[in-house]
Order: sequence, then structure tokens, then C-alpha cells
Amino acid sequence: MKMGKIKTLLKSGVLLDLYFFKNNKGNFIAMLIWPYLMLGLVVGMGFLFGSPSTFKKNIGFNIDPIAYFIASTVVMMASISVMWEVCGNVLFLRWLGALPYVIVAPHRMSIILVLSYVPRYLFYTFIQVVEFLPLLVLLEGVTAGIVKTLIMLLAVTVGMLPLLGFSALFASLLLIIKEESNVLNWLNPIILIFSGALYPTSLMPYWMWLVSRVLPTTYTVELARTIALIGSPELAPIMFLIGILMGLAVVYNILSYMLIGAGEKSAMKRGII
Amino acid sequence: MLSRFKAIVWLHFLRLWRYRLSFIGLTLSEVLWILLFILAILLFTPREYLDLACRNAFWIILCWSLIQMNSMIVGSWMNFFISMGMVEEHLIRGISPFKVILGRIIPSSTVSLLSTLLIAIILSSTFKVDVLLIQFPLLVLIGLVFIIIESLSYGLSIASLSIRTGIPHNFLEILNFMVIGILTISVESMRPPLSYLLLLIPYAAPSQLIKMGISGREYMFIESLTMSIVVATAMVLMALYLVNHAKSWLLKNGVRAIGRM
Repeated sequence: MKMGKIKTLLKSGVLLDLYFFKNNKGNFIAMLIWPYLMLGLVVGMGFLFGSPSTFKKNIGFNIDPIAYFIASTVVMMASISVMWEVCGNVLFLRWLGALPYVIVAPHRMSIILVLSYVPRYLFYTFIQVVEFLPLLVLLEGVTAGIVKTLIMLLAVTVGMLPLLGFSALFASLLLIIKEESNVLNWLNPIILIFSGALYPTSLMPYWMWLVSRVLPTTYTVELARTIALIGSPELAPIMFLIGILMGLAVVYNILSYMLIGAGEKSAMKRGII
Repeated sequence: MLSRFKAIVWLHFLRLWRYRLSFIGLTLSEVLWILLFILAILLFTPREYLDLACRNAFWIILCWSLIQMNSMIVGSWMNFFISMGMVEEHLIRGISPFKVILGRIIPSSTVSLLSTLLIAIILSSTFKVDVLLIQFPLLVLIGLVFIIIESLSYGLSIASLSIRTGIPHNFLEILNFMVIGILTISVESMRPPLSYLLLLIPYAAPSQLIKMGISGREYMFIESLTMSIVVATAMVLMALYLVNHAKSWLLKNGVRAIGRM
């Protein structure tokens, strides 16, 4: 694909979001409030039914529960966004009646789904990570707060690469099966449970732990969660997790590129709309 | 009158059956989300208090699920009803669209009931905690009835307001999320007159009745029951006023459906 075409797709993604926020200010405010509400719910109810010391004992590490759940919240919001925006876009396009036009467009559908979404993802996650900066600075001090915010940004950016392929893979399945909204509704929480988004995978039964190893979100959560460890985060585990995420990105993106073609063919064969 | 009531009930049962996969999907996603949060909350709990924490978290989240379902499934349906052109269809046949919308209690309570049962089964098998073990079942039942009345009134109020103005879906969800805060605050931790003020907040008094029913420990029982009746009555009256107002506005100005979808 030519560079100019990629640039056009990326530009369309950027403009779409800028105008969306311009015309939907309420939505923008809601987007800012949501992560704090999720964090408040878990930490608030956790402190009500127990204590931070019990939390550390149960997890088995000397970690700060608030930073732990900030990382969880950020990754949860990011992965929900990718799954709905890439995977759910097929559904949205079908509702709009625009799916046949997208399928017959000159670009491959997987490329359109992924490239038009990348600017939005970066924009949204940047805002959602940075909005926790004041809280992290308050908890950890200025330098540590900024370093940990940067680690979270790195986690959600690198974590996006395999997740895009993973979501496009599901998008191809959604093109093949019917009742896609039902699947997507429960697919998101199930992936988050298996990824250890709120409850660590180390405390899960062995079979759940095994499933968690093939999900890209597991490593994104683990990478983001290095900020919760009290003291400076170490470079070696961060690099190790980045390596795994890059490997998964290659695997999932190649798979999705191959399989979305099959999904498109099946959709066209059945008349899809 | 009875045949209209039967028709409304029939309509919602029929829709529930036809969209059974959607409702099962909704129930599953509800269960998984609730479970995700319960698991996180239980990370803070010492093993010796796991039983009590599990039961309390379960009942709080059940109340929230009822409130959320009634406001979303009942309240948010007006937009869909208007977009389908169904409001005018019912008005010219002399049937209040709000009565049809009230029938949405059938799918909303089915989803809540199914998800509650599923969560109870999962928690019982995973943590060996019988979340349905309660000291005074009658108190829990009374509390739940008040929660349902208050949340249905809230749902109907939203439906009436959405006739004239758009209700942002996101803010509705945020408001429902905040309700969890109200449900978790304990009246016992406050002194009068603050405790009385807390009981005046919607859902606070019925949730106090439920907490008493679970623990078997009575605290401000008469006050909680009285406030439940007062708040529920006020919310029902407000919903009726808004419904009547919206109906007369509709007959005078017609339905504005353009730009909704």
C-alpha cells in the first residue's frame, strides 16, 4: 500500500475524532470521568471491606493498591476501546448500511479498521493516562509520578500493536457469524478476567493461567502494573514484557491479515447486509 | 383495560423470547462485569471476613444491578420507541406509551434475576460462600421492593424527560455508577442528623433495610422503613407528574423524532 494512502486513512481518523469531540463535549467530559469512577469503585469498596495491608498480603508483593488499580483501569479502558472500535466497527458499519461500501473500497478491510482507528486510540489513551498524572504525582512525588505515567504510556502504546491484530481477528469472525453484538458484549469482560485486569493471573486456577498466556492484554496489564511496585521500576522485566508484546504483535497481525480475507469472502458470499 | 394490560405483558414476553440471545448475552456480560469487580474488591479482604464481605458485596451489587437495569432498560427505551414511530401509533389508539414502556420491567427483572442467580452460583462454588444466607429474608424482600419502586420511578422519569430533551447515555451510566457509593455508605457510621439526611437520599434507606436483613442487626429500623416509604412515594409522585406533563406536551406539540438516530 502506498504511503500517501496510509496518510489519508490516518488523517481521516484524526479529523473524525477532533470533530467528534468538538460536537460532543458531553461525551468528552464523560470520557474523562469514567476512569476515575472505575478506580473509585474498586478502591473505595476494597477499603470498605478490607485494608491495603491485606491486599499486599493476598497479592504477595509490596505494591501500592491505588497505583495497581490505576494501571488496571488504564489498560481496561484501552482494551475495551480497541475491542469495540476495531471489532465493533464491523457491527456499527453493518447497522449504518455502510459495510458493503467499506468491503468494496480499494483498501483491505483490515487495513481500514486498524489504520483509521490508530490515531483515535493514541489520542484517547494519551488523555486517559495523563489524567491520572495528578493522582500519581500526589501519591509518588513529581519525578516518580512522571516516570510511572511514561511507563503506562509505553505499556498502552506497545500493548496496542498485538491487540489491534487480535481485535481484527475477532472482526473477521464477526463477519462470519451472526448475532455479533451478543458475542462482543461478553467477550470484553471475559478477556479482561482472563488477562488478570483486576484479579491477578497468579491467583487463578492453572487452566485460566494457561489461557491468559496467549492473550496480549495479559502482558499489557503486567507491563503497566510495574508502576505499582514500591520503589523504582526495573528495566529488565519491562524490556522482557515489551519483547513478548512485539512477538505477539507479529503473530496476531499476520493471522488477522490472512483471516480477515476469509471473513470478507464469506460476508460477500452471503450478501452480508 | 385488562385486555390492554394483557397486550402489553404479552408484547414484552414475546420480545423477550424473540431476542432471547440478546438477553442471554446481556445477562452474561452483566455477570462477568460484576464478577470482575467483586474479585478485585475481595483482594482487599482478609480470609476470615471473606464470607461477610462476599455477601455484602453481592447484595450491594444486586441492588445496583436492579437500579441500573431499570433505568437503562426502562428509561432509555423511549428513544427507540420514538425512532420506531411507536409513540404516535399508541397515542392514536388511546394507549399511553408510558404504560408500554413500564412493561419493560419484564425483561429488566428477568436479566437481573438471571444474573443474580448466576453470580450466586459462581460465588458459592468458587469461594464456598452461601450469599443467599440471610438472617431476615422479609427485611431483604421489603428493601428490594422499595429499590424496584424507586428505580422504576426513576426510569419512567427519564423516559418522560427524554420526550423533550436528549438524555446523554454516558451521563446516565455515570449517575448509576455513583449510586454504588450511596449503597455502600453505612448509616451506622454517621450520627443524627447526618444519618437522617443520608436516609433521605434515594435508595439509601432500602439498602439499609437490606443490610439489616443480611446481618440480622437492627439499627434505625423504624427510621429506615419510614424514609423508604416517604422517598418511594415522592419518587412515584414525581414520575406520575412528569409522565402526565410529557403526555400533554406530546398531544400539543407532537413527537420530535428527527435527529435521534
